[in-house]
Amino acid sequence: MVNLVTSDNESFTVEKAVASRSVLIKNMLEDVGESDQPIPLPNVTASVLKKVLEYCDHHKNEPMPTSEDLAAEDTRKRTTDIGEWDQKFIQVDQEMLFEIILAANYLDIKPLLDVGCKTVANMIKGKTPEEIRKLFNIVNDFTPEEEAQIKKENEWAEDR
Amino acid sequence: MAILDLMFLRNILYGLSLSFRPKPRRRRLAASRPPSLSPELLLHIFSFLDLPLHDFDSSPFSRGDTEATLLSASLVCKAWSGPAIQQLWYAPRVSKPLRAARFIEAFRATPDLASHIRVLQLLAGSPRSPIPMWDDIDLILEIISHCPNLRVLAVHANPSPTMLWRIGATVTYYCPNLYAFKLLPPQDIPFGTQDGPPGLPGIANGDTHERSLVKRPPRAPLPSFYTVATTLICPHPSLSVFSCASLSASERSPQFLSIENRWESFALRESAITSTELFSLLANSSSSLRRLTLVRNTGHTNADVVAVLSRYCGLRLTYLHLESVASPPTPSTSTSQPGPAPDTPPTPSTPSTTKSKSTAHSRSSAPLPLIPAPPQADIDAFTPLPTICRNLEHLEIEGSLASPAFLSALRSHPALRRLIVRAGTGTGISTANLKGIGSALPRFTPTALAAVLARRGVDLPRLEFMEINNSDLEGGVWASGEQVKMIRKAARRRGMGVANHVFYLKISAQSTTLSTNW
Repeated sequence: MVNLVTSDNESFTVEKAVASRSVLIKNMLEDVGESDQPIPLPNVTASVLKKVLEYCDHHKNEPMPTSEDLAAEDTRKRTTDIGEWDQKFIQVDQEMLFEIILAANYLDIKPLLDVGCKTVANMIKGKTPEEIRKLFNIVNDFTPEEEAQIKKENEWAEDR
Repeated sequence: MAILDLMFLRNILYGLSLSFRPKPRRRRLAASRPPSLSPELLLHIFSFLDLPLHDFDSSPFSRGDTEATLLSASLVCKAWSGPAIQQLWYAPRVSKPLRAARFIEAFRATPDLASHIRVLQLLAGSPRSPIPMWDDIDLILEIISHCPNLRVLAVHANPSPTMLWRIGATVTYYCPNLYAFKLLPPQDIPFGTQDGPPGLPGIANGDTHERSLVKRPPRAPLPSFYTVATTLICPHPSLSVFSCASLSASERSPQFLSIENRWESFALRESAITSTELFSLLANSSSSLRRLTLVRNTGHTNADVVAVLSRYCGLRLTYLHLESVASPPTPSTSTSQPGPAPDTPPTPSTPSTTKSKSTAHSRSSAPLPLIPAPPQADIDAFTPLPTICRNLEHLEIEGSLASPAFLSALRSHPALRRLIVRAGTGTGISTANLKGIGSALPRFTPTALAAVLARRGVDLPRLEFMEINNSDLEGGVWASGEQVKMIRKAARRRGMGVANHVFYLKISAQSTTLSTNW
């Protein structure tokens, strides 16, 4: 078993197989060896880690992506291929979605990171800049000149 | 009754109230903390909007709505702009004159943007080029020299050896990461070519029928393989994917092929390549080659290919697409002097194909491809292929080669996920000679195919997609209605969906019935 401590000081005890879905933790365990010392995760809160561990637990028996898979990763990218369980898992509010992406990136859980990123990609598909800003509550910080410059640079892509 | 009606109305009203309900909670949550993702993470998100790198195999590629979404993303805010533009310039699609003009304007204003380019497709070098400005070789070279990260270069052109040499020198110097080079004739632009992505792309990529439904105009062959290889391929340190069509015959020795284990993917269509060259190529790629496409080339037979595969690289192949030369419908070819059939099935021989005649069949006394079926030796030689290539995941062959003996050997193939049987391609069947052939059509194969599908979990345990393509018959029927029924029944028994179209039958793990036009 592995003991993980979150930024808000909550501790989670999980199977090694579950924790090792995170390449960060896996490497840490390999470096440190067998130890009862808790592993601090200063970038992850308890609510997010709970969710991340739920994902890791569900996928614990799947083979880890090999370096060959990661090299071939470019060939497999598709936004539509989120598994059924993953799709349900990622139906969370926006704040949690981005927290999961950040945590998966920090913990180095590539499949979870991809599920999160694919979900965001699906959310922005076909939307106008204003719609995207509204969706994610983003403030437009461009000056009109800057906006015109970007439009000009990429005008070629407008002619469909 | 009235109660039922009332409940129905209530349900409708409830449904309406649900659909018009605003989503305040989610928005409020978001408002409390706008997402702050790093540029790397944003780029990762945007990359999922695009095609995977290998899918740019289809040329010209289509990015669908990707560009529109990326344009939107680039205008959202400063933080999003950089990553979105980077992804937008990943594979600029410059296949229309206006686009190309604007692209060049943007490139000239900010040449650094070209450093984002991974996939570049140029349509150049022909009087019929749809974008005249791509004929400016200096401009092309200027753009290429600003693309240090270029991975895939597709040139739709009929370039002179000098032009090839200059492109070769430029990519060798400026684009060390280039791994795929494609040279295609300009006339191919409206139709595209497809190598098919590796692995299992699913039925979305099974659009081969559309391409083959369109009659291609006659075209002049491109420079020889020798020229392309010596000027461009060999000097480059890392090219491993090569795809060409309509190359003329080499007049020089095939020594250029002896680059050891360079090729990971090799595709040659409607070109002249002798069996000696083929042997040299495959023997030298025995531990690197994974994907092989040899379609309607002259100078070698399928038996040659299988013979080489059994000695080299057969076991490692995961993708194989083989079609033999289609003979023209006139019987006069069999009496002509030794020489290959013309490049494209329906088109008459072009003057330059005569060049290839010297090398084409001189090495053996094998008979010319007969009409309609390929030589029996080819069919027989083909039978052990499933045993030789045990790791194939994708197999695309012409129906006339899929003899019952072959299909019987294919049954126990452990890895095959995608099987495409193109009826008639290699048999030279067209409307003109369809009537004359009549009973000679290999009608046995559909029945044998149905038998292959019969036992779920036993035969072809990993099969997820199968297509039987009748398109080259131009309206002729290859499989009878009864045979199609058998195939459908067998597919359903193993839980696969069946999609029927006029010219082809698609069987896939996911597909649903689309139409029944048979």
